[in-house]
Amino acid sequence: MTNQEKIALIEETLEIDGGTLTENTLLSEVAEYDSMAKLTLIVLCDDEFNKKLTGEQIRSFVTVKDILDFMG
Amino acid sequence: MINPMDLTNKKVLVVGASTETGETIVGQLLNLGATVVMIDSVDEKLLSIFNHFNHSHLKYYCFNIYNNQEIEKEIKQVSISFGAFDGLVFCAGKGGVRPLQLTKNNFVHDMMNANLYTFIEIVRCLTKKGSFNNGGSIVAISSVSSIKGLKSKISYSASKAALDAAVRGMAAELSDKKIRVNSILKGWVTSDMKLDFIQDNMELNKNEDFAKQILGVIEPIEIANTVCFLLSDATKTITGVSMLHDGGYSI
Repeated sequence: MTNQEKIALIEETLEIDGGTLTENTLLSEVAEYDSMAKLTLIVLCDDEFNKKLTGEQIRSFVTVKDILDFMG
Repeated sequence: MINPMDLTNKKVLVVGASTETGETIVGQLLNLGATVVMIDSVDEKLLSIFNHFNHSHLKYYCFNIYNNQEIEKEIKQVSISFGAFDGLVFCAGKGGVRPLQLTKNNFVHDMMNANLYTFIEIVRCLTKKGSFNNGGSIVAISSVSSIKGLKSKISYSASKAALDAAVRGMAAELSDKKIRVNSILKGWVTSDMKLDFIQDNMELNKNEDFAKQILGVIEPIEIANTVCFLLSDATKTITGVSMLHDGGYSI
């Protein structure tokens, strides 16, 4: 999956308007990125990428690219 | 001195015995004089609990409890091997948190299968003539989530609410045989806290959900005591009840 496809998947799952996120977007500036969104990411990484994301790892994410890198 | 929760001469089947709460229930049943047959899907874990207690009144039987095609055959074998039971404890099942957008059909189905279908199928097969004594008692472990609206627990709450509803229907139908059926709506238990998905959820929600449990976390032994209470003759006319044991979570 390309980074663009991953970003589209994140936008769709977190119900963020398409085209809003870039690799450099700061997560702290995304209004939708709340605790439910973080939980959603945990499940998404498990379902789509077969990767176990912990609460601790999520807290270390600063930009969208950090999420993409984790997805691999 | 008398013990109203004495379970001497009662034979109890514990389904889902290899969970921490299940193991504690087994221990307390043995303490109260019961003969216990443990059932679960993982042989090694059951053997380790069996060796841990090293008790002449403890036996075990292993099969995949979530394969509904096999339950009838396996429960029949359990009846043949161990004779009629006086009690059933269902502490198996599955947890899991998921936001609505990712609560897809297969996730819901797995949860319903583990928390509801398996329970109904085991009770159906075990309450056939000769396998369960009249006057016996059935206790299922449910959750306070079944009566609370909680983010990300749609599927879990639904499955536990369905379990409670099944308990009421069974209680009505099995009353002819004086068989009682109840569930326990448990709150946060110490063993829950060790589960990965609970830890992640709690971290992300800043422990807000846990803080609602005003008397703090519940020890598994307390749940075991409530199970034994409902199994015992101390509660011969309590049936169809979903009893809260939630540290004040729901008030």
